[in-house]
Amino acid sequence: MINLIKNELNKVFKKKTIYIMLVIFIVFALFNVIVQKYSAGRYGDYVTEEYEVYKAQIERLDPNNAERLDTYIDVKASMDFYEIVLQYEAGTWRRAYVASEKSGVRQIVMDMTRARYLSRDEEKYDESKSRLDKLLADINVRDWDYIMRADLEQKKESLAGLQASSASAKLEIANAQVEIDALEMRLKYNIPYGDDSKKDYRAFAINDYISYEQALNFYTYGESGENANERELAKRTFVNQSAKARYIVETGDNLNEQSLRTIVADGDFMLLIILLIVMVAGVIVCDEFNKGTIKLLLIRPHSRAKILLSKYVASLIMIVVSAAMVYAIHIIIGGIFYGFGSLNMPVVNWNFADNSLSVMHPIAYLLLKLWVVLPKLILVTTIAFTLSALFNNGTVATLLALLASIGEPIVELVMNRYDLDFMRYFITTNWDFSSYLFGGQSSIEGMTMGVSLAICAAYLLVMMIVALWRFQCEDIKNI
Amino acid sequence: MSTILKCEKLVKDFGRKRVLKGVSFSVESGDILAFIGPNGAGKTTTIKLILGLQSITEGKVFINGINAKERFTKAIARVGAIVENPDLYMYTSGYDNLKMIARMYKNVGINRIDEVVKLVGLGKRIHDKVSKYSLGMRQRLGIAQALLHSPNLLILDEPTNGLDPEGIKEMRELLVNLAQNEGMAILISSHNLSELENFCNKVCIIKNGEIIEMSDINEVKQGAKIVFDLGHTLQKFALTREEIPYKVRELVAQGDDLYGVYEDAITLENAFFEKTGGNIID
Repeated sequence: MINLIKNELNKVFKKKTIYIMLVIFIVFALFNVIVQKYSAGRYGDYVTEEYEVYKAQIERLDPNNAERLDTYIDVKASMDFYEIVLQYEAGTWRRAYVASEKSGVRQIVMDMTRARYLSRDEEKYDESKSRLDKLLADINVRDWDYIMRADLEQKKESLAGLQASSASAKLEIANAQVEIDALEMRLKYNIPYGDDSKKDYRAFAINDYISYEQALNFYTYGESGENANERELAKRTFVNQSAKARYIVETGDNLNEQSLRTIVADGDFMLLIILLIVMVAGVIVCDEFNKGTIKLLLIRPHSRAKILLSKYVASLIMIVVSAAMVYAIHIIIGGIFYGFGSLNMPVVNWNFADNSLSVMHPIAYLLLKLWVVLPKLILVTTIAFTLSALFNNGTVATLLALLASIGEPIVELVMNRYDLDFMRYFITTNWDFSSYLFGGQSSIEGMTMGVSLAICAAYLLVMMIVALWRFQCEDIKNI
Repeated sequence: MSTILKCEKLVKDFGRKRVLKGVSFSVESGDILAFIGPNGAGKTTTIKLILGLQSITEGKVFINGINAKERFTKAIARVGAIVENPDLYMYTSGYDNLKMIARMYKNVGINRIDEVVKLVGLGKRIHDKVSKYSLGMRQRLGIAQALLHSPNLLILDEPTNGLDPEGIKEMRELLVNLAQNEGMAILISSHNLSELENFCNKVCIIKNGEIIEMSDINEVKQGAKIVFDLGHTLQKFALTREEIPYKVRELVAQGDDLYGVYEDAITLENAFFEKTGGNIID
């Protein structure tokens, strides 16, 4: 049997298919890495650009034209606002703070502009102007943490107000609490206000933390249309994302940075892996029939069942070969572009099984990720293999198996859209165990890992019996 | 002499069509059996039933006394064969092909591969890709893979196809040697009938799924005729050597001009056409 498997692998590696796919993998990996590398990491100074835009616009507008006064006020206020922002050096916390909504500078500038052009109330203008001067003077002399503490105090006050009032919704209170937590985190981990771009990844993570926590609050306290299962799934996503954001803030590891590590941990190369395995499994039986070489195999002292099984085992081994090829190529090419250092940074996930943070090496995470899609890979291989044995047509076998794997989300969509509950027993709805990772649950309500495994095993068994039966009683036609 | 291959009343149906209607014959050790018949007579089907490539509708096949239907892997262990064409893995070398075949048997080592390669005369070309081989070379490689595990029954379907005269001569010598010195039983089907008559010792003629002649080659050849060339016509008579002078006198007495008298060198092919009544598939 081992010799038969060796022969089958020998044939696979002697054929051109695998080398053509190798080239495709390399081209894909190069494309993937280059696009990732050069699409990210460019941050222009938007403030100057905005200022120029408004400045150009204002020259074409007339404050005395009553019809377009609103537009004039908007443009003028924006231009004045950016002029103020530009007084601060780019990249400093002051500039970021002045530019952000938090400081309130933009609102005051707007008030001033309205006072002058709309209500033509110079007194009000002066009042606003002095407010602005005071605010800017404060910003100019104070440290960032002083300002932040002031903001924090203010937020705490308003939270206390909300808690005191019986009318306030739970959601509102929870969201206010999140903002307070975020500010406390900033103070604790020395994260000044930034321009919130990805460049300042810790500040970015703080913002992520706020939005995921608030989204979580919405699904906890708010009114959303989803059913209980969908809500639970959404909540789990936000818990996980928020835990990751928190991890970035606390450790300073930039988990979102585009690097070799993100290619390994987040890259989805399922289709590439499947492409090679169906191209092998889809022809491994029928090629011998079509070329007449099956006769070379069947007149040997081995039963047909053994010969078919050796081909099946060789196809399964190709799963490992295919996955190894795809990832090895990505790691090598990614390493050339990014260096291999990022592989030291862990992959972080919230583990719902024991409600703790799971911190893993990227390669370990990759293996875990492949392990949970192994049933899918095995079943796709089996589909291609069985169809190939059944119809003796490699194209049909390869394409149908590929279609089954690509059609997975479509099946689930149709199932949810039309409420077709029987589709939960389909092969595609059960073969991917990724959702069970880290104590997760199935996207289909009531499905458990055990049930899905049993369904997968049943499909596998039926397909293998059909293939064996067909291969056993097949007459070798004249060629 | 022991019986190596024995077919008993083999019947094969394809759907409603009965392509083999009770084929029985046997091959002894040391025999070279010419298995001949027109296209569609059932030659290849018979071979496929023997080799287990197609299921047997009725009847039995015994190889080395083992029922091939019941204990296939044991029965087939000492059989080497080429069916239809020498179909080999074109994308790899001849040597690789042989190595893969060798792996399927227990006791076939590298030495045996080299031996067989030498035997069929492939020489250094064995390391070339099979797709670069001529048909004749593929035929040689086909024989090599059939001989690799030292079988005692060799079944060859059209083995001379594509070989040049030199190659045919070599193969003939090889097969005669195997039959005579190693006691191998050989079953050859071929369309190239004139090539077979020189070295096979038995002939089996099949037509429309039935064996219509099964005898020693010499018996088939008997019934040779003497041709009398009368200028305007050729007359043929089945005569013994002693009867010829009398016939000559008889013809001369009739006033015929006799231009020549010679033995009609009846070939297997003629005998074949006589028996089958030409190449008609029903």
